[in-house]
Amino acid sequence: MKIKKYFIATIIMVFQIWCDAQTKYTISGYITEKGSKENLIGVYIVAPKLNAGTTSNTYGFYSITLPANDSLELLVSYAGYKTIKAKINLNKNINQNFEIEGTNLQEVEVIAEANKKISDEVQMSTVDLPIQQIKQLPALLGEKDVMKVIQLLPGVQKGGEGSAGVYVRGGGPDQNLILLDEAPVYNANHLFGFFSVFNGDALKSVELIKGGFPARYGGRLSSVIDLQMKDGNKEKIKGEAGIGIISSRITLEGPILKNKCSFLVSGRRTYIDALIYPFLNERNKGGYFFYDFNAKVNYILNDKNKVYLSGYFGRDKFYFKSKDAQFNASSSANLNWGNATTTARWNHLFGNRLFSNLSFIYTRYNLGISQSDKFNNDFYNSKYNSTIQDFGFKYNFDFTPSPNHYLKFGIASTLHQFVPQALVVKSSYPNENITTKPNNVNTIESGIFLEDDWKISNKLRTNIGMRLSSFNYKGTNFFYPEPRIGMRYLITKDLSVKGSYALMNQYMHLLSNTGIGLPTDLWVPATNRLKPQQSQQVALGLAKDIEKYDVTISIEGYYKWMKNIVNYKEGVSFLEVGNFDNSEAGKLSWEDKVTAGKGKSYGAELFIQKKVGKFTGWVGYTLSWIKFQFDSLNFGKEFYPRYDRRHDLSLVGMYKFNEHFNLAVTWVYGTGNAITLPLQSYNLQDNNLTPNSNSNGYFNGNFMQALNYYGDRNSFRMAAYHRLDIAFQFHKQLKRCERIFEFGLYNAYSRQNPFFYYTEYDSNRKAYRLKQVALFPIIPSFTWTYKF
Amino acid sequence: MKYLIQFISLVILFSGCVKDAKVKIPKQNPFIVTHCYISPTDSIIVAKVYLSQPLYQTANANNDEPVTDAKVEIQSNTQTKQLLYNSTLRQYQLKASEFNILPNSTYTLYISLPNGNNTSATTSIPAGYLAPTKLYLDSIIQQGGWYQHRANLEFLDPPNEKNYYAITWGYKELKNTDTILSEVNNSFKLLVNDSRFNGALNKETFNIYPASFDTTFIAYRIYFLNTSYDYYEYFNSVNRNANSSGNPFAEPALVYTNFKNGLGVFAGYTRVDANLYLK
Repeated sequence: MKIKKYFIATIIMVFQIWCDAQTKYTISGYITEKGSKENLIGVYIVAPKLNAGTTSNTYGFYSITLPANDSLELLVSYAGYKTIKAKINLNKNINQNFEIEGTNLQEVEVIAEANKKISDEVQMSTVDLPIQQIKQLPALLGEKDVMKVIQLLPGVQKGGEGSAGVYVRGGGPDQNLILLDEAPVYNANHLFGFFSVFNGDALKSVELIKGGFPARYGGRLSSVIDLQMKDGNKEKIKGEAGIGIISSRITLEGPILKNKCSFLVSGRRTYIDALIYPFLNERNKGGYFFYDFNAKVNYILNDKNKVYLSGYFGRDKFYFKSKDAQFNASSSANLNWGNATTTARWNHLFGNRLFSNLSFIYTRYNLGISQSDKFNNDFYNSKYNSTIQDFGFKYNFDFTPSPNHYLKFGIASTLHQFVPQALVVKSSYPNENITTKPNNVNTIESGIFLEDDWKISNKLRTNIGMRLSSFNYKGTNFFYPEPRIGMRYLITKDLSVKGSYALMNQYMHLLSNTGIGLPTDLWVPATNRLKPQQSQQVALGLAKDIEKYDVTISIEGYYKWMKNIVNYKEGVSFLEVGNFDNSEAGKLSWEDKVTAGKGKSYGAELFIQKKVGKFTGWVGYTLSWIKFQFDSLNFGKEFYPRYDRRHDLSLVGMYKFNEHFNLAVTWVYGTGNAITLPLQSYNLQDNNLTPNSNSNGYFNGNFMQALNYYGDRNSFRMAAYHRLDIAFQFHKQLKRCERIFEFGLYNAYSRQNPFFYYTEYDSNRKAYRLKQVALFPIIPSFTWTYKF
Repeated sequence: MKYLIQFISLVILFSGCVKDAKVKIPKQNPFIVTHCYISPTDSIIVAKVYLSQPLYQTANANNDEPVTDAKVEIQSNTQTKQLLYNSTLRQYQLKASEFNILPNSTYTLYISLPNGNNTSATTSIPAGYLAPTKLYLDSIIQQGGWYQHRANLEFLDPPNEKNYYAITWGYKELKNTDTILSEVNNSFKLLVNDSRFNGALNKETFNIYPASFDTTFIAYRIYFLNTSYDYYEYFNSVNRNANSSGNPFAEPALVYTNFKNGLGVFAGYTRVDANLYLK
């Protein structure tokens, strides 16, 4: 009945829009960068006298329908590019492409009407990160990292020192939909989370959405991180190579057929293994490396059709080998994990108001662990493997029937294939042999959506949408409607109040009992017993543009409810096999080892940003609370998760002295993580069933087991975290190339931020001391980049 | 997994900077720690009372030194009795003949110290005595180079109620069937709840082993306990705590207590013992 009502309402709305559009004409086309013909996303196209505007979509396409006008003035503007003023005789539908020219940020001509204002946008809780800014900011060991820049934004927290994991408005790392050219990336970490898998040289744009999610996105609760790879220069061969302390990278792009077809390839590899090799002896060899490879090719078939093929392939490998000829013994261990994604896309124009994109998507994440030990004739070999892979398609449409409506609709379906764990053990002791059947699970996740960016009046604009999502697990169907609404009301021409509501469902869970983003964290599907995660989020905020200083300010408050979030039960882990430990956990399926609960997070965020000028940067401040409740954790009482952080502050500043020198500084402060700290100790007194016997005094392997009292789960706060990073870049423009030398300081005043705590007995005091381990003192870095 | 975490921990310890944490730890007052397990089949009621040791304050009590001046009382619906301190056995005790512990009954234990600190807990005794329907050894297996027996215990779970079980074992060393050389309570506990088999026949399989396989060893002693929730949850949480130790990144598992403002456990059970002869 409800669906019928939605359908009728949609038909009426579309009919009204269509009638409204009869006396107007449409200007449409692509917006590209001058010199490379790279499609530009989010370019603002505005007819100031008509108070109407739009932005280019992910593929650089725009379409705006306006009343007939023989001298229509159109402005095309984009931060960091020269604004185009165009006069158009709009007496018929027009196909008009624009090429805009990049410029130094401080040279931009300010045309007030051409600026895209945040006070004008309906979408709230969203930040676009310019790739150029990401490349200027200081980074650990000089490795520029998109995810670590995202951590500097309000509402986003990092997990621990150096970690690339992001926690958005109280959600875990699994609740972020990370899309690389539309393909989900299941594990975005290299080197146990210290670096992310995204190579900035291959990226064109990064967008973070923390709330007020448009209906086109679904499948995760807390955020969307949408990354688009560059298409490749269509006019000439360009390249960039960089050498850093732990890795080197190279990118090459250029035309295959000039202005028709182009390619991009980009690779990065670390050489930690080569650096440590000389320090290892003959008997013990080991190492670690990771690599990334991005590739993309695109082809313009004709004015109405474009195709793209892009892919990412990355892998981490940790290995160790030792040999002892004297005892005829050897052992080896391997841990490797990696992502692979492929996206094939076809853009097609049905007329000048209806744009479509059909995507076929493949993504795979795989973890493998192997161990081999040999001693004389005895041997022990084990292989563990887990995989998740998706085959999916999306067919999305953008329809601009009138200046007041921008419709997006589409359909998507994905086959998820899970192999949560497969273990093979072969031993010289036959009883130790294990072969677990790969517990393959196939599930199908689908969704259809419709959203309308509707300008109700000059002051009031909304984005109303509905997503219908479904998930099939072994014959059980989950089906949920997901209403989304965003609203903006202009109080003055540069001040608006915004509100949003979004209901999200997530049909897969990430099981982690380390909290540090190890590759052993496993994806599992929602099942009959572990229902899909669900969240509802409301947000309310103010947005203000101060055009005189090119500054934007937004203040937002939010409240998010989450249910069916999962966690391991206390004391169990995924890799337990068998029941030799006499515990029940050894016999249970993964569904028995996890527990579902609920959570809530609320807070306020302040974001002051300056995108243009000699000095750019932002201030981000978050005041937040996160609380979880699981029946099987903390004895059912509410508790703060580890990453609950009351205060989080980021100051980011970049200053361009001249065309040769620029300086970037970041300072971050955050309340310490919530942890469970042992506070008191006592001994277990066992139930002695044979009072007259010789009790061996052991309880489950521990003599008179010493126990700790911790208080409530995560009731202790680590010391506050703060850090200053500095990067200084020197640019030298040569005749045919540019050289960039960067010197950076990570943790410039060498703050010893605690990574974890442990206790150590002090025999002099006859008491324990709390010790902390800090990872990174001041770390200088040098990077040399060559662009041609 | 454990090796991986240990490796990462070692790398971090060697590469990171270690120092005393500069963070304020709230002052802790010791808790009264009480362990008391009651059963209708026991001839004596025993409570062991200690004080916990705040970890970061200079020692003012010893984990191994019992509290000797507490007032310990046990209460049922009909009577209250005090347990008296036995300095030889370092425990508070009361003869079962002076206080009835009955199946399907609830009891409360009160402990108070001269300084005014006090704590209490309530537990219940399961409804009846449940005996295994079958108990047998089916094979000798080699596990990690050690020889062990595989034991099987079957029992019929009472329907429509929540039940908790503990299976533990010891062994007797006998010269012959009449002379007991020694009896050892092993303390390993297999803890089971009936959520997977409520009202049905259930079989538990577990590995057991003596100190050594020699000619004098002829029998295992199996203790099959029907326990209160407190008993099951306490030892389960102790197991979980042990499993989560050694990983500085993992959340430690909290240990259950049913004492208000105290630590330890007051738990009830019924038990049926059985010998499991090798031949």
